[in-house]
Amino acid sequence: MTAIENAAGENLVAAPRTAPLRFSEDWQDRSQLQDQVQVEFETRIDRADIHKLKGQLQVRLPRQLRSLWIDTSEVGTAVSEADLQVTLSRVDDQGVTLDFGAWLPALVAVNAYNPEGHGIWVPHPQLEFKDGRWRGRFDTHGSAARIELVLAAEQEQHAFPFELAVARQE
Amino acid sequence: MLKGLLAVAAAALIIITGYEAWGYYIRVDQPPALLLTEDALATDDLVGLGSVSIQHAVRLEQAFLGAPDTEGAGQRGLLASTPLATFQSAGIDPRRDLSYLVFGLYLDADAKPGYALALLGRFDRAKLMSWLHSEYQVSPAPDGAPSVWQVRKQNVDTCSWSEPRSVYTGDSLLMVADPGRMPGLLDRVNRRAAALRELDRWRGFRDTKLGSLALFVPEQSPDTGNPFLQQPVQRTHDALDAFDEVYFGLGLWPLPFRAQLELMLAGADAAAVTSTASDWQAALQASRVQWGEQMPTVARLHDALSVSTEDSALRVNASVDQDWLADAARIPQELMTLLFSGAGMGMSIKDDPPAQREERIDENPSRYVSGVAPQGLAAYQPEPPFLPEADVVSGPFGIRLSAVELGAADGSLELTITGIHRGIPNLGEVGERVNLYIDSVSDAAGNELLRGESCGQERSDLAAQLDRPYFNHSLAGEKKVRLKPGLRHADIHRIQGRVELSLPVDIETIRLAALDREQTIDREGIRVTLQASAADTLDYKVYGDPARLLEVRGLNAAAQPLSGSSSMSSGFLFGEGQSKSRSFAGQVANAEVVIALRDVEQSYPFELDTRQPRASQNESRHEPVSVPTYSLAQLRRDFPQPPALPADPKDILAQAVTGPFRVALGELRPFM
Repeated sequence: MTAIENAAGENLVAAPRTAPLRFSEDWQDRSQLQDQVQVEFETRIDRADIHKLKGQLQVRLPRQLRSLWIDTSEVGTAVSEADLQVTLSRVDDQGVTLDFGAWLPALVAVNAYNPEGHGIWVPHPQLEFKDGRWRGRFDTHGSAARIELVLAAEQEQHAFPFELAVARQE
Repeated sequence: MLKGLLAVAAAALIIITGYEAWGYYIRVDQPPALLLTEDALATDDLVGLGSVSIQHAVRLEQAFLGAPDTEGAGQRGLLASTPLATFQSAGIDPRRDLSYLVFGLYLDADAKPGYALALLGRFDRAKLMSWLHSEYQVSPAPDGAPSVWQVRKQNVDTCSWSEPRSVYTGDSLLMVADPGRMPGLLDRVNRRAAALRELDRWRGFRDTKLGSLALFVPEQSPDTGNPFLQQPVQRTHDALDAFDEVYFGLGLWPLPFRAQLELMLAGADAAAVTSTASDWQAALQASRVQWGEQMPTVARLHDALSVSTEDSALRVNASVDQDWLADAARIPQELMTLLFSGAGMGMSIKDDPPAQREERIDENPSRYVSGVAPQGLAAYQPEPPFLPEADVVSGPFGIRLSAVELGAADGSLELTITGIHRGIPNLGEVGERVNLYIDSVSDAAGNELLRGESCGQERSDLAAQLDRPYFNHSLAGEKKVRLKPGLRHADIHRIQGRVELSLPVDIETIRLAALDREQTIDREGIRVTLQASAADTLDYKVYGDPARLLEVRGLNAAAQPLSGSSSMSSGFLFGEGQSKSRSFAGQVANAEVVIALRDVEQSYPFELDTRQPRASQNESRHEPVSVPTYSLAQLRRDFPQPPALPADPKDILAQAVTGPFRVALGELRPFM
C-alpha cells in the first residue's frame, strides 16, 4: 500500500507498508486462488477522510530453483551459498529454527527428511523478522535429520498497480 | 506542725519527681555527639535534615509496652528477613547499641539530589565489616581514606549494579553518603565544624519529638528531571512561597498515651503567616461541616487538628489517641454506606440471595493419602503423544533434553531440560514441592561446560518447578541452562541433574461445615482462619508456613468437591501471613482444609547421555514437495480473466482489477 488519500488528493500517510500474500485455492471457487491480508498504518486518520487507497501487487515468479540442505545434528551449523547464509539456531522436540540473517531468501518450499532419508511432514513455516534478523520456525512431524530449503534462484518480478476508491458511508 | 511539714515535703517530692519523670518521658536528649553530627551535616546545600531518637523510642517502649522477646522470636525463625535480623547480622542490637539516626538531604548547584545518613551508637567494626563484605561488593575509598569504603550491590535477578555508596565505619559513628560528599562531611565531623545553616529553630522544634524532619525551602524549585514529578514539586514550591522552612515531627505522650503530630511552617513575613493560618482554619472548618453531613466520623477526626500562629510560624497540631484510632477504623464502613446509599443499595450483602452459578463437580480432585512414601511412588510411564517418551526415567520423573539453541545474547549454546510427572499424591496446589536442578553438563573428557552464573532470573543454580499442568493430569516444568562461550553442540556428552521432591507423608483433612461463622485451625507451624462465607467463595488467611496448607476446597451439600473457578492471594501490608480467596463453580456448603503434618525430602538424580532432543510428534511420512518453475505468461494462461465479484458483494467497500488480479477492500477499522 503506497498511499491513503483524502478528497483533495493529499497523501495522509508518511510511508508505504508491505504485507505478504500467499495464495491458496479459493474454497468457494476452486479454479481461483485467493488470500486476505491486513495492512496496518500507525496514523491518526479519521475514517471519514479516507477517499482513495493506492498500492501495487508485486508478483515474484520462480524462473529457476535451487535447494539448500541443512543437517540438524549440530546447532550453530551454517550453510552458505552465494550471498545467503542460513544458520541452524535451534533444535527442539517440535522441530527446528533457522536464522536467515538480515534478508529473507525467496523461499518457495520446505522439505524435511528423517535419519533414513524418508520425507516427513512439515506444516507451513512461521517466518518472523525481529531484532534485524529473519527467522523461520519449521515444526516437523517426526525427527528431522535434514532440512531442504527450496529457493527461487531466479525470479520474474512484475508490479500490478491498483487504486481503491472508498465509497462514502452514510 | 510536724505532720504539716511532712505533708508539704511529701507533696513537693511528688511534684518534683513527677516533673522529672514527665521530662524524662517527654524531652528527647540532645547529647553533644548528636549536635556535632547535625552541625557537620548542615552544609550550605542542605535542604532537608532529619533525626530519630532511637534511645528515646526504646525508653518509651520499655516503659509502656515492655521489651519484646526478640531472642525467642529469633529462635522460632520469625525474624528472618526483617530489619532486626539485618542489624543483628551486622553485630548491632538496635535497642542496646543505637542512639540516634540523623540524615541530610541535599541539592547541589546543578539541582542534583544527594543524601547522607548517620547512625550514632556503638559499633563492632570487625562484625560490621564482615557483614558489609557478605552483602556488598566492598572496595577501599578512591582517596584511600581510612575506615571509608565504597560499596555497591548487585541485583541477583537483573545482574545490574547499584550506584556506589561511601560508608564510614567508626566505633561510635556509622555514616553512609554519596561518594563525592563523604570526604567533606568527614572533614567537618573531625574539625567539629559549625553548621552552615541556622539550626536553633530546628533544635527547639525537635525538643519533644521522637522523629523530626526539617525542609529548608530552596529559592528555586528543584529540577527533578522527571516530567511527572516536576509539576507537583513546582506547585509545592510555589505554595510555600511565604515560608523559608517547613518542620514535621512526631512525639509520643504518656498519660494518656497518644501521638502528637506537628507541622510548622516558618517564614519572615508575619502577615503572610497570619493570613495563611486564617485560610487554613477556614478551610478546616468548612471541611468539617462538609464531612459532617455524610461522614460524621471523618468530621470528628477534624477536632484533633488545630491551627495556630506563633513568632512568624504557622503550626498545625494533630493529637492521635485511642479514640481517634477507633473513629478512623469506622471510616471504611461509613464510606461504603455513603457509596452504596447513593445508588440505592444497602450494606446487607450477606442477606442478598447468592448468585446461582451452574454447579460443576471436580471430576479429578487432587489425591491426598497419609502413609505414602517416596519409595512407593510408581516410575514414570510415557503415554505418547500426550505423555512423551523420556530420555531417562528417575523414579516418578521423566527427564528429556527438549531444546538446544543459540542464545540471543552472545550466541553461546543454551539447553532446555524438561521434567514431567503424573500421579504423585499430596502435592497440593501451592507448588514448589518438585524442583528440577541441572548440576553439570560435561564433555567426553569430563570437563565442565556449564557457565558459572551468580545472577540472572534463570541462573543455572536455581531450580525449575515441575508444577505446570500438562496433558492427561500430568505436571511439567523446564530448566534452561547456558554453556560457556565458544563450545560446540558436539561437545555435549552428559547432562547431570536431580529432581528434589518434598513429599507430604502425613496428611490431615479437616472438614468444616457451618460456614456462616469464622473458624480457625491451628496445627504445628500453621494457622488457617476461614472467614464466614456464603455463595461460591471461600476467603481465608494463612499464618506460618504456607507450604503446609495443601488445599482449601469447596464442597457442595452432598460433600462433592466443586471445580475451582478462580483464586486470589496477597500478603498483608503490615505483618505476616497471606490473605487468600478461592471461588468455585457452585454453592459451597462445606469446606475441606488439607494440611501437611510431615514432609519427607527425596532426591532423584539423573544423567542424560544425549545431545539431540527427541521428537515429541509421532512421525508422519510425507512426499517431498516438488515445485515447478513459473512465468508471467503461464500465469496469464492459467488465469486469463480476473476473478468475478462475489454474488453478494455487500462486504466490499471498494474493488479494482489489475492484470489477472482483483483487489478488494473489505474493512477499514482503527486498532490500538
